[in-house]
Order: sequence, then C-alpha cells, then structure tokens
Amino acid sequence: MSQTGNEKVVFEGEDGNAGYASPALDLIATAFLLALSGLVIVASWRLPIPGGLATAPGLLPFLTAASLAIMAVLLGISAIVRHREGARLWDAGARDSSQDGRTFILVAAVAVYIGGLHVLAFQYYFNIGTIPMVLSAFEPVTIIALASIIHLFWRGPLWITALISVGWTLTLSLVFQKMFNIPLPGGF
Amino acid sequence: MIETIQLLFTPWLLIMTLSGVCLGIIWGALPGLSTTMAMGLLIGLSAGMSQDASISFMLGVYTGSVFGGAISAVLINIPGTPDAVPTMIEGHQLAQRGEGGQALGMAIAASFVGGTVGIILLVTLIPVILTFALNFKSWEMFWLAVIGILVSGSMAAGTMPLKGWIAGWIGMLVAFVGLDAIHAVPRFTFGSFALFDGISYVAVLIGLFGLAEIFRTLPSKDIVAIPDEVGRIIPPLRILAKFTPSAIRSGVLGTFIGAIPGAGANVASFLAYDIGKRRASPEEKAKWGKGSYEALVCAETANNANIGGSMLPTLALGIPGNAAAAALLAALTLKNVSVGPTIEIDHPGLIYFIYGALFIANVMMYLAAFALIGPCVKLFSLPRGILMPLIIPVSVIGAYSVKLSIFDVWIMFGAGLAGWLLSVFKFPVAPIVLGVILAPLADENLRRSLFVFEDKAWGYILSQWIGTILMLFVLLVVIEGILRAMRTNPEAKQDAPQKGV
Repeated sequence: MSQTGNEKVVFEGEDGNAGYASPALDLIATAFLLALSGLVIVASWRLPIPGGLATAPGLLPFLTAASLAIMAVLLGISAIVRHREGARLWDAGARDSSQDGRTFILVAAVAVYIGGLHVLAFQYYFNIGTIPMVLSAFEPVTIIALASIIHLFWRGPLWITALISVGWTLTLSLVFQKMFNIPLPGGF
Repeated sequence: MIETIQLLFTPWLLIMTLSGVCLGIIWGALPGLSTTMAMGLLIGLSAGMSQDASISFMLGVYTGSVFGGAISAVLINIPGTPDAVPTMIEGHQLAQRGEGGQALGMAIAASFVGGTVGIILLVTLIPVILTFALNFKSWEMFWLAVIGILVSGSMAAGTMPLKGWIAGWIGMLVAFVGLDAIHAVPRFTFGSFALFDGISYVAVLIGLFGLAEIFRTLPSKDIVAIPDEVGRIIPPLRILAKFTPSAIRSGVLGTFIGAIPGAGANVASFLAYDIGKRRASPEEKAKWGKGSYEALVCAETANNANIGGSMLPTLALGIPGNAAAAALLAALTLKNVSVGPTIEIDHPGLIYFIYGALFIANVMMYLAAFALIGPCVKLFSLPRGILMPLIIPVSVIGAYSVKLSIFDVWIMFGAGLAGWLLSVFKFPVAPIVLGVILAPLADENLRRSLFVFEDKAWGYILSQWIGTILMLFVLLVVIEGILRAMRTNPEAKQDAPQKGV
C-alpha cells in the first residue's frame, strides 16, 4: 500500500488511486477529452463578444479547452509510449472488475430513487397533536429505496432492513425539517 | 474582541461545535468516509443554521473528522481517512501488542498539540499574509487561482501530475456553465434555463466525494475484524513529554504543508512521518514501522496542524488549501461570507471568530475523542451494507438543500457517476473541486486585467512584479511535474498498481 517493508514510505496524494492506468484506458480518456475540448472550443468561439476581445465571455473557456486538448494529446502519447515499452494494452490485473455488476445495480438503484423523488413529488400537511407536520414523497420513496439498497448489499433479516430504513428516514425528516427548517426533496 | 469571545461561548454555538466535532470523529472513524465527504455532505445541514452556528459546526466537523481516521486505523487496520495511513502502520502494530488504547490516547494528545500549533501559526502568520495580499490585483488573483488548481493537480495525482491537471481543467470547464459574471452572456447552457445559474459546486462536491465513494466501496465484499476491547486509553505523562519536540516539529511542518494549495493532510502526515524517522534516535528508528509511538505522534500532529495551515490561503487569499477547505469555503459562501484579502474590511471581527471557533473545536475534539472511542468500536461492527446506503439520502438532501432544486440532485448524481468513472480511469477528483471553485475567480480576474492591460506594452505587464513571480511559479510547477513524471520508475508505469487506501 504505502509502505514497502519498513524502509520506504510512498507519498500519496489526496486521491490514493490516482496515477497510471492501463494504456487502453488512457487512450479512451484521451479520445473523450479531445471530444470534450473540441466541443467547448467550438461553443466558446460561437459566444457573443459584447465588449472587446479582452473581456470576451468565451476567452478563458477557449484557452482552458485548448490547453486541455494539448494535455489530452500528451496523455495519449504517454499511453502509446508505455505500450511500446512493454505495458499491456488492457491490464486486467490492475483493476478488480468483479464488482462492476454490483456497482451498476447500485447506480441504477440510486437513479431510480432520485427519479422517484422527482416524478412522484407531493406534499401533505397534517398535525400530530399541536405540532404541524409535512409528509412528502421523500418519506415513502426513501424508505422503499433504502430498504431495497440495503437488501441488495446486506443479507440480514428483512424486518431489520425495514426497521432501519423507516427509522433513518424519519430521523432525517425530523432533523432537517423540524430542527433546521430545511425542506426535503420530493415536495413542492 | 471580547464580544467575539462572548459569542463563541454562547451555549448554542458550543452545542453546534460539539455536534460538529462528534459527527466529524464518528464520520472520520468509519472506513471509507473521508474528511472532505463529511464536510461536503454536512454543508446541507449547515445551510439551515445561522452564519456563526454554521462556521462553528463546520470547523467542528473538520477538526473531528481529521482525527477520527486514527480510530479505525489503529483498531481495525483500515484508515478512516487517507491521512491516517501512517497512523495505521504504527498504531495497528501497537494494537496487536495490546496497546491499542494507549496508541489512541497518544493519537488524541498528538492531534490536540497539532491542532494548537496550527492555530497559533495561523493567528501569527495571517496578518502578514493579509497585509501582503492587499497588493494583489486582478492579474495576481488570476495567477493565484491558476496556481491553486495546478498545484492541487500536481499533488493529487502522485506519479502522473498530468492527470491531476486534466482533472483541475475539467473542474474549470464545469464552472464556466451559466451566465458569465461580466456581460451576463449564457455560456454552455444549451438553452436550458436550469443551467443559467451555473452548476452548483456543492452538488458537485457531494457527488464526487459522497456518492462516488459509495459507488466505489458499497459493492466491495471486504470483511473487517473488530476488536473486543481497546485497553487503557490515557497515555503516561512521561511518554507524552518524551515526544513533545517531535510533536512541535511535525506540527510546524503540517501547518506549512497545509498552507500549500492542494497539499492535504495526507501529504503532511506522510512527510512528517518520513522526516520523523530520519531525525529519530537509532533506538526509536528501529521501532519505525513496527509500532513506534514517536512515529504515531509525528503523523497525527502533522495532519491536525494541517487544518490551521489550510485556513491560511483560504481566509487570506480565498484559495482553499485542500478539498476539505474548499468545502468550508463553499459553506462560507452559502452564508454570504466572501473570504480573501479584504476579509477584515468586508466582515470585521469574523477572522477572530474563526480563530476562536477553531480553538474551541480543537479542545472539544480532545475531550470528545476519549468519550467516542467506545461507541466507534461498536459502530465498526455495523456491516458496510447497512452503513453506506444510509449516506445516500443524506447526499440527496445535501445537494437539494442549497437551492431547493431537484436539478441539483441530478447534478450530484452525475458528479457521483463521473467521480466513480474517474477513479476507474485513475484520475484524482480533488483538483476538480479546486477547479470548480477557483475558475470563476480566474475568469473574472483574467478579463478584468486584460481590459486594464489593453493598451499597455508587454514590458508594463511584466513590470507587475508579483504577477510575474506568480507566472514563473506556474512554470516551475509545470516543469517540476514533468520532471517528476519522467523520473518515475518505469515498472511503476507498466504495473499501474491499484494503491487505493
């Protein structure tokens, strides 16, 4: 990880994972970055210039995209050079891809959760004793989404999953709405 | 001054600081939940607080979470935060010898000393930097912003600075979306009114550091061994006294590292750990890597001193010292606090409030840490499959609460997905945050300065000596990055190892 034996200490940046990827991944990144910078260069070129060139709204975006394109080319060249020096194009061992399927399910579940909050938004006012309360799509959608995601990744008893989902959702709802007066998504 | 002190000691603010510290410690202690993630997600909660309460709360979270990483590092051999890796190397060896409690006690004491050294240096140095920073005009502010993004990229990507710079540049492109600040021309909005306000950097921050982390760690099937008990926590005074010089040296080092934009607590703790080893007595040096209290003290002092250091450029120049400080800057901006050279003119007394709040947070961290070790051990036994999903609705609320916009929640989701993809392609994400936050500063100041320089010769531009020095510094950072990449061991380039923490 960060230590080899007890002698050498390797410094890690803010992101421990960052660094050299397999050449194929770097080439894909190069292609994407070139496309992105090309798009921004064209879009910033087409922006109106109300004052003069010095204050043009597209000036820094243009310069940023142009320098990004140069960096993307350098990334591509470094990938090709590494491949020529003997690095495998697709280094299967460099990354554990066995969890990708589970990751895709998780990403889809989160997307459905946010979509649910977006599409099913409603708001219902009621009182518990003298305390005014608000029920929105946040509570039912979060309970269902949370229970589903926990059930996907933890094979414990269903009643515990349900209890945790309900308990956590109601806690968040009360803390944000009642303590800090912050409206929750899923309402209006 | 007296009014500020009275304000800091009002019960509500003390409760807010304590809540922030406790949440931060617990958050930092949980494997996979980093300081920046805590700061990013809890911005949403701070949005509903008053300005004073929000600052106290966020500084509490910052202080608590930096220490919290040590708990899981020592007890279960998983660093809660990346800067706790040296603590893990030493602390877990001590824990295996039955000295886990004492190792944690040392880590708490070292964190407190580090925090205090950082605050003292912050208070001492900020007037000097502020006086100097008042000479900074648009041209200099533009170059400072560029330096912030470049250095962050350079530090974050380790052996391949190019990827860090690319990440920073992507962050800048994200920030250009929306109405431009000078002519109000819509840029890259593609006709969507939702994009006129720009892309919320809070949503981007939460996505990159919150949701992306969940996408990375929740599907993992790792199993962690949990200790039954931790033993004696309070370390003997003679051990504390023995390592005081190392603690002060590492504290000073950690503060200065923190002041460099982009150099986070992890760089500080690794550097202090390495320098500590070089300066240790032969007897102590032999223990390095096998459970050395001095090594633990060096690492923990440096990463907590880093907090004070990171506040130096954040408060004096408006350039965040690291991604966590960038999150703090975002929280301050939400409260209409604009930091930078004119902070004392724009917000008289605020800087003293921040010093005081940091100091109180540091004291509370010391007290709360002892109390929270037990509950943290209990929390470790919670399966990841339960713990991580609970953060998803917090991320959603955090992104929504800033502008009460579900569009921002989708932005957060997109940023989370992008963060996960970036980790697959081995790009760092911290420079993106710096890019998103600093790009508007760079954009506005570049255009202002070019307007001023419109009829001037190159000689006049170069005669702006601070700007010229900053330009040369940019060149130096780029050259250093290129040389570092060229010096990298060819095997490291070919193996492309996964060195995630």
